[in-house]
This record gives sequence, structure tokens and C-alpha cells, in this order.
Amino acid sequence: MLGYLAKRLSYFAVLMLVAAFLAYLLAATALSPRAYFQARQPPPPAAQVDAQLASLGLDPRQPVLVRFAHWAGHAARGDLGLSIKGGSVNDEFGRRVGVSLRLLVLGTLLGTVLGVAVGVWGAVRQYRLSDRTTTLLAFVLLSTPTFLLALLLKIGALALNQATGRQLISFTGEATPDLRGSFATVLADRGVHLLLPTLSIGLATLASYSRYQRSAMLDVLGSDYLRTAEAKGLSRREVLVKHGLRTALIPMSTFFAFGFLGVLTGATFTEKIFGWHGMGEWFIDSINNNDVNAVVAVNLFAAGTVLCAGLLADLTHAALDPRVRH
Amino acid sequence: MLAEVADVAEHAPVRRARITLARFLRHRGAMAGTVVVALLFLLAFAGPHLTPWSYSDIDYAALRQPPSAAHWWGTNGIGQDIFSQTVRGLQKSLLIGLAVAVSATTLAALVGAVAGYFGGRSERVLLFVVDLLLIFPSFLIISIISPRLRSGGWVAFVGLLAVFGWMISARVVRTLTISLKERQFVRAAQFMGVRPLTIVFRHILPSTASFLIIDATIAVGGAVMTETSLSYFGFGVQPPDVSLGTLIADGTPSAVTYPWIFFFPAVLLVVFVVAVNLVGDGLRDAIDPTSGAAGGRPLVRATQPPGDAVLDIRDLRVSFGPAPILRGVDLTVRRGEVLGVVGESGSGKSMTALAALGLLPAGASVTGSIGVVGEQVVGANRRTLGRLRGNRVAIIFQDSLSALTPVYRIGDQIAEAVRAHRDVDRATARRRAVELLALVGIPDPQVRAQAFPEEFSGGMRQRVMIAMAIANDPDLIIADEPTTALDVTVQAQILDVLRTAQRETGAALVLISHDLGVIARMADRVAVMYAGRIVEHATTAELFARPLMPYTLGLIGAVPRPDVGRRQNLVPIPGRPPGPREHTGCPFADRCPMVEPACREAEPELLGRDGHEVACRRAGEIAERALTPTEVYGIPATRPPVPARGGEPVLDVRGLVKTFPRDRGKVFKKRVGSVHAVDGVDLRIGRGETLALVGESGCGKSTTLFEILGRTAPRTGSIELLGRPVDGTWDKAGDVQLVFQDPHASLDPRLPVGDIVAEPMRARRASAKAIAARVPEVLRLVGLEPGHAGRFPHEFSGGQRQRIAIARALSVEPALLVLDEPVSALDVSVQAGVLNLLRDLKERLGLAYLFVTHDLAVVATIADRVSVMYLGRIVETGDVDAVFGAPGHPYTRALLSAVPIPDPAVERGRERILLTGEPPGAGTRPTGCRFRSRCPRYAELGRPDVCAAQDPALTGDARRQTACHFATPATT
Repeated sequence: MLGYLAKRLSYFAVLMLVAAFLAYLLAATALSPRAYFQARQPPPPAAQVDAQLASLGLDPRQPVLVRFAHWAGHAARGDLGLSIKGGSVNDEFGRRVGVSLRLLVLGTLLGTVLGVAVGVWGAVRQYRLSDRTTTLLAFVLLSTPTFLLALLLKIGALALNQATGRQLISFTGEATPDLRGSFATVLADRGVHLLLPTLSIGLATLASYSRYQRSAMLDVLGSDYLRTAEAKGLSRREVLVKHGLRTALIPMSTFFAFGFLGVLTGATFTEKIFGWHGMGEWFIDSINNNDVNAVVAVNLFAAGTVLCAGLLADLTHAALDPRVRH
Repeated sequence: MLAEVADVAEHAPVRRARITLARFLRHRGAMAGTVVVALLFLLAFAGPHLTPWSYSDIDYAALRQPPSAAHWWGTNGIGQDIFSQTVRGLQKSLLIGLAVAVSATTLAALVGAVAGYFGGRSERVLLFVVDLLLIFPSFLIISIISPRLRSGGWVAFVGLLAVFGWMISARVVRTLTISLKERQFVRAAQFMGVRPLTIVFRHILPSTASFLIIDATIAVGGAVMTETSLSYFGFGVQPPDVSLGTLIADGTPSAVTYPWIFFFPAVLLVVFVVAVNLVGDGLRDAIDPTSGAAGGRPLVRATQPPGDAVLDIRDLRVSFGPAPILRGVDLTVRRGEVLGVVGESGSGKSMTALAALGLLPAGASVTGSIGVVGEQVVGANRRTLGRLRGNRVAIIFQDSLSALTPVYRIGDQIAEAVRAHRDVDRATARRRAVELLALVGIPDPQVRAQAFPEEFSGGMRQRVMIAMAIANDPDLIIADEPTTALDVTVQAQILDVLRTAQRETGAALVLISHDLGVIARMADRVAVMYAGRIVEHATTAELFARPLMPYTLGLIGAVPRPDVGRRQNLVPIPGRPPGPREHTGCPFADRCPMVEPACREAEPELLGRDGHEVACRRAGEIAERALTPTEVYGIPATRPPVPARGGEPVLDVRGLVKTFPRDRGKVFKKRVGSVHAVDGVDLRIGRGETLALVGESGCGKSTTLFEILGRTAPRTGSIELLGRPVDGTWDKAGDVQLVFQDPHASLDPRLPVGDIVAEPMRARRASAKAIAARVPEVLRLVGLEPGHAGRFPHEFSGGQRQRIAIARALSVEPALLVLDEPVSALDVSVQAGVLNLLRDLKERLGLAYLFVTHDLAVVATIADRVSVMYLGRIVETGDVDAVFGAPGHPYTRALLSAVPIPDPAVERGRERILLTGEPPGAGTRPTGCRFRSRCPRYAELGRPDVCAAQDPALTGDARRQTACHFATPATT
């Protein structure tokens, strides 16, 4: 098992390196940091722009591989360089990472747990009204891009607040600025702010999970070993949970790794729309600012979280299927 | 290549498409989706002509106007018409979605199929790219590149979306291809010499078509969603052009105050994607034959009180919707008794078994009565069923791999059965599981209990199933084809264990089997089933001595018997069993040689005296005249002996060795040794001669065969065809063709019979004229009609399909026909017809056969010579009469004695040699005699040293050669 983990980790490390390289290459060639400085009023002289670019490690006169080597040398020491605005990318990273992780973890948890539950329920009650209803709802959710879902939730909340005349649901930022009060008040405030962003990424995950889990469970429900379990005289619950769900969850662990990608992409929109100062918002702003170092940093974050999800999926797989551990 | 694709498309299976279409049309969601998609397309392309406004026109007089007559859907902040803007945006989004879906799916299909089929580097690169894309999501990449894209317009955008959108589908196509590659119809094409790319286009891609169509449909929705998301953030379609994404972005700030600006594009987007997904879902359901709701609520009602026998079935009727599976079954089984149930596949045997445990699939209507130890099973609640199942009545299924939960250890699965009915703690249950494993003959049970099902061989797993069944001392054990998938030696062991288990527990046993030999060995009474009813029922001795129903006579006459041999003329039952439906007359009438008009008027009842019941109008006559199977079916009892022609060798294999590297580790493979699958094999087949190669699974038969068919010179040893060493080239005179075991799997279901038969000729570039002339000829040769060329395989029965496979092999007039278990997947009644055909063809065409089989009874009927293989070696070879008459090798003796003979009088009086254990894996290459670990003679003689020290060579005369230090002398 340890050997297996070590192998996965080394493979992930290779992937991560290649991803970092490609991200840098892409960002450094596709973005044009010079445009950022030239857009200033009044436009600074060319020599000054060159100097500034060089100080960021983005001197266009150097070949891109040299720039990458320079960046990688710093990155290896834990320094992700300077942002185009002059601040340290590391500091910005530190400020934002927690914001994003909170959303990602909560959204994934919500989507995964509820998705699995809804999927199993739908499979067991195949073709009944409840199954058909959840199926239709899942289809509608799956057909709504996250950004639109987030917008709809926001518009809905706005309409609700207007109708009731009170700020029932807050949806801008992580917390009400300058809020004073007890710990409970602050916590409740944060909770309310979390509600819509979490829903908007969790619901999409929930919908796709429920579909996959439903079909995985249906496969298992038709299997011979479930019939054997039933023939032993086990109770329905034991048959469905111990023999059915356990095996139906195994293929889902692979899907978890793929599914996390959707969550990550969805979170980018969500942050931007709900005004959360997380990695996703940073990514979109950085592209618009032609901020190469920041874009690469966000890519590293994305790669890292996906790999963590992949590792978690591997561990879940091993936990569910003891044959892997052999 | 394109010509080939067109060629395939021309013969698209019309019927299948029609069925799929019908199912699709019945799918309400899919129909709604299709209509909506069609309407939206209409709106997108006809819409611009309906309004005077163009999408870029500005009406300064109307800023942020709500919907009105002038602006149907209102206007936005700068006075643009929302309707024309939305329609234009929809048009753009649809075009992008379609273009991306089509190009991405095409790319995915090609790359996936090629990577999956050819494997190697292309495959590794694909997998790495997919993994890379996972951690470096395409959304990020496209966002980064988008600034560069602004100059390229939306076509470049489509290209980008397609380039990053195909990988995951390609991965699925690759997985599909890998499993298709193992399918027999693909392997058949490989062995026929069809070129790899042709195989990919002709067999692989059409088989993935259903996935690709669904995938492309759903990809349209996905692409539209990606496009709108990117465009929303300004990374996609660039102004002044519009798409649904840019429109939604424009409408967002004023969504609450001026909702029309936002909601029209937003709702259209969701409606379109939902509709597309519904179409995709409907397609999936239409293509997958197992999907779809069962019609109506099933009726489950006990119509009689349960009897008090161990098993008491009265007038049991089971149906699925309008299709009756069981049509009134009556059965009684008393304590300690063994009831055999026989019949062709589809006769209702397994349904009866499942019904007895209340395990019928949902949707089954059940009436009648099933009493298990006095309790009613029909309509019983879960509690009652739970109390009975595994406790009073237990079942053993055929396929033990899929019948055991893959993720739990063997011991735990047995312990679970114990704990379901007994209030014992975990440790006690586990101890009991180990005891049970020991009881069913699993060596080292303490350790083996820790294994997972996949680590056990088929025979071992079947022992586990038995252990599980007897865990709670049941009153009744039902075994549904418990030995069907097993080797005869293992079958003999399992039957023995089953017997022991049954005696130990004193349980009654219902043994379901299609093998009359097994029934003859085990059963006290036999019930013969046909078309959902019992048609004959008697004690075993009586039934085999005086069968009264032509169907039973046919079944008995169809079984090849090793003790009769080549003279035996096998009785084929013509036609195929009727599908599930009600019958007005005798359901067997259409296949019955003794049918008379009255048979078709009313279904005969099961009547009889002295415990011999039969449902046949002519039974009295059959009894009176004591008719035999061959008499009833009007064929001669024996075949005239045909002298073996011998003569020049067609195939000459000498000293063939085939090793496989044995690797350890999954990621970093390390070669740790060699597996000697074939270890010095000699085979010689003369013109017009049949050589049978027999042995248990894993002995190296198949490897030998594939080496011969591979047509490349072996590394060690030599293979000569018609005196010429094989070297990979085609030789008209020295052609070898193959007939596979399973005719359902070895014929591509998507090709018409004519194309299937012509495939080897095409691979040899025969002219269209030659093909057109040859196809009807070979079809006639195998007993089919030339008109069958236009039909598809699924329209034929198993026996007919095997005839098609034989016709395909014969189309290129091969010198040698290799038959790999050609009849073992067929019902015995059908098997007889195919064996007779093979014998006729051989006599008429002078064909040489290499007949690979595990069934020694079949060997006795068809082969001239036999070679017995054990662990990569030939241990005995010679004339069938000489070898079977007086087997010299203890292994041959054991194999022969394990074959059940369908005659209880002979079967029960036989001396039986039970081999212990199973063949060791091919990886072991013991010194000395390889067989000695299982050899009864070695044990008997007190383990003589010579067996351990010296590897015995084949010695003997021309009639029989044996590789044993203590061979039984040949009879003269």
C-alpha cells in the first residue's frame, strides 16, 4: 500500500512539474505584461517599462525558457515572484487560498454526500415518481452553467430581500464589513455569506454525482452477487448498503477526481460573481491585467488541489476495495 | 480506407436501427427534447427574418423598453432589440456547440480507437495528456490563450474548444476499444488476416457508434455551456459579435430592474441544454436494450396453500408482462432426495429455481404456490423470505465469480451467511466459516479464508458457494448449473462435494443442469422442462431406460458418448425452442418428428402411471414399440465407419515452445521469470484427418492453437503447413481457418451474414465476382440458404450461427480447419447437428481438423486421433480407439472416468478416478513428471523416485504413445 502511494505521488510530482512548465510557457507567451504598463496614464517611457518587466522576471528580450528557469529557481525556494502591481505573489496567495479552500471543501462535501444519497435513492426507486423528479431536477441543474446558476441564486436572493424588505441573505463578499458582535453573530454572518456560493458550486456537483451514482448503483443492483447476498437471507438494508453501496461507490472514486475539476472551474465563476476574494477571482483579474506570475501561481494552486483530490480518490478507492491494498 | 467506411455504412443493420428508433420515439423526454431542439434551431435561423431589427441596430427612441409590439422581447440599455440579439446569440452558440461537438467527437473516436487498438506509445501519451488536462484544466488554458484569440474570431475559438474537449471521450473510446479487441469477432478478423486499420474501421468504430452518438449529443450541450461561460467573462465570443454568454453578461447588472434583458438569453440557454441532454438520455435508453420501465404492476398471488414437502411447487406460473416464462409447473421434492431438472436453455429451469427462493426479478407476475418446508413463498414478505433464505433453503449459482461480492474476503462472506441466521459473535462465525471451507475440501482453509473471490479458481469458488449454502444446515439446496463452466475433472470433484454436502446436511437437492450425464450420475428423479412446463417426469433409471417424449428422446440421443464412439449417429433436434408465449397445441409440435394434426389442437397434459408422467399424445405408442432416439428421429443408429485417410501431413508441429514473461509490479514492470505455456509439443495431422487436442483449462491448448494460427515462425520448434514452414505470408494452398467457441461472440453483430462469410476472402483480396459466386456456395455447403446472406447474425439460432462461422472458415478452402471448442457453447440438441455437419464436411471435402476441446465425449465421436495435454506437454497421443479403449496415462484415465455418461446403469457402476486438486499454474515447471503431484498411480506405487527424477518421454507404438514411467500396457 505504501509502495503504491509512493508511486502515485511520484507520478503526481511529474505531472505537477509538466503542468507548471506548460502554465508558465502559456502565460508568458499569451499574456502581454507590457500592455499593462503601457495602458497607464501617462504612458511611461519604453525603457522604464523594460526595467519594470525585467524586475518582474518577465524581460521579453530573454528567451522564454530562460525566464522559466529564473522563475523555477525562485519557485523551488518557495518564492512565486512579484505580481504585476508590485506586491509579492506569495502574500496574495496566502490571503486568498483560505477563501477558496473554504468554498471548495464545503461545495465538494455538500455535492458529494448529497449527490451519492440522491443517486442511491433514485436507483433503488427506479422509475418511480421520486426518481423521475430527481432525474428531471438533476438534468435542469446539469444544463445550467455554474455562472448562470450563481447569477440566478443572486437574483433570487436580491428579489427575496427586496420583497421582505430585510437583508435576509447576504451574498456579497465573505462577511459583512465592520460587523461587530459576539462570536456567534460573526459566525452566523459568515455562514449566511457562505450559503449562496456554496450552493452554486455544490448543486452542480450534486446533480452530476447523483446521475453517476444512480447508474453505478443500478449496475450493482442487477448484479449476481447482490442476488447471492439476498439468497443468504440478509436484510434488505444489509444487502443494499453492505454489498450494494459499497461496490457502487468504487467507480465513483475515479469520478471524484474528474468531478473536482468541475468544482474548481465552477468556483472561479462563483468567486467572481459573489465578490469573494479567492483564487478564482484573482485568476480572472490577473489575466485581464496580463499578470504572468499571478496566473502561474493560480495554475499551481489548481494543479495542487486537483492532485489532492486525485490522491483522496485513490485513498477512498483503496479503503473501499481492499483488493487494491494487496 | 474511405471506401471501406462507405462499404460498412452501406450495410448498416437496418433492423436494429429501426428497433432503436422505435424505442427512441416511445421515450417521452427524448421526444420533448427533440421537438425543443428543432424549434430552437428554427428560431435561431428563421428568427432574424421575422423582425425588421438586426442584432446590431440601435433604436435610440427605445432604451430599456419592456417587451412591446415594436420590440417583442424589449430593448437593452443602448436601444438594441433583445429578440434579434438573442436569436443571433442563439445562432452563434448553436453553431459553436455543434462544430465543437462534431470535431471533438471525431477526434476522440479516432485517437481513442487507435490508442486502444494499437496500445504502446500512442496509448501512454493519450493517458498522460488526459491526466495533465485534469490538473491543468482546459478552462484555465483557454482563458489564458483568449487574449491571443481575439484576432482569430469565433472559428479559432471553436478550434480551441475542440482541441481541449476530446480527451475524456477519447479515454472512454480507448477503454471500449480495449474490451472490443478481446471480443471474438475482432480476434476472428485478426486470425483471418484482416489488416489492423480495416479492423478498426469495420469492426471497432461501428461498435462504439452508440457511445459516440450519445457522447456527441451531450457534447453539444457541454460545448454551449463552456462557450457561454467563457464568453460571459469576455474570454469567448468578442463584441460586436454576440452569443448567449455575452448577452447574459450584458443583462446581469440590470437583471432585477430590467429582467427581459437578462432572462430571455438565460432561459433559452438552459432550455436548449436541457433539451439536448434529454435527447442524449433518450438515445442511451433506446440503444441499451436493458433499460426502460417494465409495463404494469406485476401480480403476485398464492392461489393454493403450501404443501408440507421440503419443496412443493403447484401450478407455478411466472410471466413478465405478456410473456409467460413458466406456464404451470408442479414439482415435489422430499427430504434427502435429489431431483434433477433438465432442458434446453430458455426452458424455465433457472426461473423455477429463483422462484423457489422468491428471488425473481422485479416485474415478474407470479401465481400458484411454492411451499418451502410448509411456508408459502409466493407473495411472502421480506421477513419470511429472509428467515427461509440461506437457512431452510439455499442456492448455488452457476457463475461463481460474479455471484460473490468482489470486495469481501471469502471467509467473511461465509461468516456473514452464518450470522444472518445464528446469534453468534464474529469470531465464532469466522471459525465456522473455516470449518465449512475445510468440509468442502479447500486446502489450508485458515489462510484461504482471507482470500478474495478473484484469487480463487472457478472450482474453488464453486466450493465456496457450496460452503455458503450448507452453512446453516438447510433442508433444501438448489444448484443451478453448478458445474457448467468447469473442467470435467473439476466438475467431478464438485459433484462429489455436492453429494457429500447433501448427505452431511440431509438436505434435499434440486440439481438443474443441461448435462444429462450429470443428471444420470446424481439424480434420484428427473423432471424434463420445455417451454415453461414439465413435459416428462420419472425416476432416473426409468427415464433413461424408457424415455417417452420425443423431446426427451432427442436430448438423450444428442449426447455424444465416449463409450460408443465414432459409430454413434447423434440426434439433432431440429428448429429452436419457442419464445415465451402461450401455446394452443403442444409447444414441441414444430420440432417433433412424430407430430400429428391432433398435437396442434390442444396442449397435452402431464399424465402417467407408476410415477412416470409425460405430456405427449404419442407416448403410449413410443412405450409400446420401445422406440429409440434414432428411430424416432428417423436416422440410422450408427454411421458407416470411414477409414482415416492419413497420408501427407497438412500440419506438422515439432518441439513447439512458447513462453511468456512473468512480470512483477504494475507500474515498473520487472521480469522475474518465464511461464512455459507450451513446453515442447509435437502435433501431426494428415489430409482428411481429425486430431483432437484435449486437456484441462490452462494446459496450453489455446496457446498452441494461437501459435499455429499466428503464422509466424516460432522461436523454438517448427510449424509446417503442407510441408512449408510458416513465415507470416499467405499461401493459398496452405490456408488455416479458425472456428471459435461462441458463435454469438465471434460474428460481428453489425454485419450481414454475406459480409461475414466473405471477410477472409476480402482479406486475401479476392475479386467481388469470386466472392459473389462463393458465398452462396458455402452457405449451401453448411446447410443454410443463399438467401440468408442478407440477414444479420441475431436472426439465427446458436447452431445456425456456428454454421455461419464454419461457412466463413470454408470460404477460402482451407487445408486445415482449427476448431476451438466449437460446440461447447451450444445446447446439446444443437451441438449434435453441428457435430454431424462437421463429420459430413470432413467426409465430403477431405478436410483436416484440429479440434481443441475439453469434452472427451465429443472427441470420441469426431476425432481419428487424440493428443492429451497436461501443463504444456503432450502426455498421451494416438488413435482415439486405442487411447480411449485402453488409456495408458493415469491422467487420460482420470479424464475419461470424469466424463459423465448419460446412462445411469453404466454411470453408477463405473470405477471413478477422482483427481485431487487442480492443475498447478503454468508458471510452475516441476522437475520429473509434471503430473505426479496429482497422480493417483504415483501415490499408489508409494511415490517411486523415478517419477521425481526423470521427465518421462512419449513411448509406444504408432497406435498409442504415452509419457509415463508406469503406463498401463496397451491392449492388443
